[in-house]
Amino acid sequence: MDASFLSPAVAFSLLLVFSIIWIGLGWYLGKSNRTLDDYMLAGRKVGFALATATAMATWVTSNTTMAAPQLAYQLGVWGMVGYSLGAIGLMLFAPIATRIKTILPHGYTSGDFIRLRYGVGAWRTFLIISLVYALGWLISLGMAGGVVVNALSGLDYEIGMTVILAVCVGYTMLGGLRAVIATDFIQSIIIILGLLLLAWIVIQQVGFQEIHVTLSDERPALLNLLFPAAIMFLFNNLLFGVGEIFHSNVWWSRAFAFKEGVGGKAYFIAGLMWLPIPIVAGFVALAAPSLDLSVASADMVGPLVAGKLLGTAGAVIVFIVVFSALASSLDSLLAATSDLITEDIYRGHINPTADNQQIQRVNKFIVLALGFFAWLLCLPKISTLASLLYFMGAFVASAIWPIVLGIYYGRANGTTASLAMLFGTSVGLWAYFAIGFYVAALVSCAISLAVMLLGSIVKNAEFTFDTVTNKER
Amino acid sequence: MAEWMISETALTVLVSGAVFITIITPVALVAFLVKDWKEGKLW
Amino acid sequence: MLFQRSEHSSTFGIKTLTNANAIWPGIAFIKVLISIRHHLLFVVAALTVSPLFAEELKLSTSETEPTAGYFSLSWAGTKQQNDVLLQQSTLSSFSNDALMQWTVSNVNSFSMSGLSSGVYYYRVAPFDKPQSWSNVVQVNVKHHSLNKAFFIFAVGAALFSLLSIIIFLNSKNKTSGI
Repeated sequence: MDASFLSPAVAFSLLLVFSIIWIGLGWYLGKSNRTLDDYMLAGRKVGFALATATAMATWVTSNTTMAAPQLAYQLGVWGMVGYSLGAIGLMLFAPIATRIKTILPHGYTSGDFIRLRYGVGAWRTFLIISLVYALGWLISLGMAGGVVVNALSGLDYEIGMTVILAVCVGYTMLGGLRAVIATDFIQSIIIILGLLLLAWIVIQQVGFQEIHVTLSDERPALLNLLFPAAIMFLFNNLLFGVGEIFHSNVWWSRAFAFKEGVGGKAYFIAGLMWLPIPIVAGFVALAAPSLDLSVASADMVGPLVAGKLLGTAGAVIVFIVVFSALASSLDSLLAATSDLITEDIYRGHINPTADNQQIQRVNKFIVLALGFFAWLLCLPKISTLASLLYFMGAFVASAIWPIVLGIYYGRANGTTASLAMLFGTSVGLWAYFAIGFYVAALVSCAISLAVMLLGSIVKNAEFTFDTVTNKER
Repeated sequence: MAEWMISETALTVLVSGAVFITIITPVALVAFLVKDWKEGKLW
Repeated sequence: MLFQRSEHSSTFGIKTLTNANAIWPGIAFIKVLISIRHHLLFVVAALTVSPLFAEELKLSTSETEPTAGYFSLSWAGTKQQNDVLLQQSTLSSFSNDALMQWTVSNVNSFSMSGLSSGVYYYRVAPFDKPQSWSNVVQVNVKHHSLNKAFFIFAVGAALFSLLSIIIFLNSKNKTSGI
């Protein structure tokens, strides 16, 4: 294996070319943003095509392109299929997205829902979970950018990481959600074409028979449908994905931004379109033993196979695909987290009488501040920070039932919801350390359900949304 | 360790099916985009 | 201070601990016992890393009993540019029957995966000195029990089913919900 496939100069040029395109788009689209709703929610009437593309592209993170091959390499067939089950989160969110638009026609964030439905205590608990997750994801994306660029090209980690963060901050600030959505569309096409090309090359040059024979001989567990760790991974991963999507403002803000009647269809179709992607990306890794590759570390197995089969061209494709996947998630995360902080912390706690113009300015500033803060944390490259993301299963899965039961039923009150999130998270974290990463989300979800049910039986809050619509801003 | 190996055929079907859907996706997305644009329902 | 320790090194890098000024004879006796044990350990360590075997690589594994068939091997003691030969066998004699071999260049780790339950042995040698094998590392792959796996699967499936049913039922009825 060569130390790097691309020269740093080529890598930097690629970064530069795409950066100019994204920022150009951001600036151009930013000019047509007039109101706060334009900037934060793209005017609240995004059509089906753009809605579907953005839901799909945002869920394709660098994890999908790098971790899917790693999972296939470590957990085999169920690893790839299990990763695909992350699509279910998108599909289950489809009816929720429709409902969100109905009950909160003037809402901005996931925090708005929790505040109105459950009150201040649960709102603050929820905000802590949301921000921990958002920052964890932000940092892991920032680090992934630097690491991958460095692994593929030798370009310094600091430079790659800085450029990617700076570009995403730049066009998100300039263009708001419109820029995020427009770039998502282009990035989704790039990602898919790149992965298709790689998979096709693997099928052509290695082939299914060769892969099957080699794996049967040398790595039999990868083909084993009774691989215990992989079986345990399946539903834990599904619930982790559901927790991520159901609680995160990245998806709620889109639900608010999509036109009436679009959200349900868009999320469902996006889920279907996302479903095969981890299989296509993961499959590439299964060729590694057939190619006699010595894989130094499992997270690089995707780029290694691409490099071996296509040399520099393969590295370029992987580079562009990973950069697009990173950017399409980073921009969404920056925008949505900034929305959450602006609406729920700034307007919610600090300055409730701020007008829309002020809010828009604060929002832009927070995008910048978030980017800078993430950059600071990514700079020392503390690798354990990236693995923080694995804890998140316990956090986010605890919010699933409070949201689902709260959005459809009126029995549970704020205390119940807060306790559900608290106990779910703590017991989930305990399970993470005591039993293993493959049960954290599962345990958190189960405990949270138990608390929600108990609380709903004990006390009926008799909540209805029509008493509250006029409390929206 | 109990084993139930996926057959070569099954693996081929799984991955080929995934590739097939993934080929349709960008075509569909662009088609939807053009349709929305023509009807003025882009955003 | 109850007692002071002094250390000095011998020519083979073996450190010895001596007690000076021990106030409690009992403690002094225990300290002597511990120092003998340390002495022996240091002798063993010295033999392993002493100048006689400077070229020998030291192989280690991230997990000795992995529960999912994957782990990471790494080795030290060579300049990173050197190629190494890595061997895997199900026999500690590394006889030809169950042998697998890789040439690894430019890195000093190897991520192994997909192994069935069982014991595997590994050793490395520099490519240009193929007989100077490192220590043998033994990895005992012990997959989780299938029952445990199915139990966790079942809990997850139940949670997922409940979630889907609730969402599905409520989404059909437009006037449902609050």
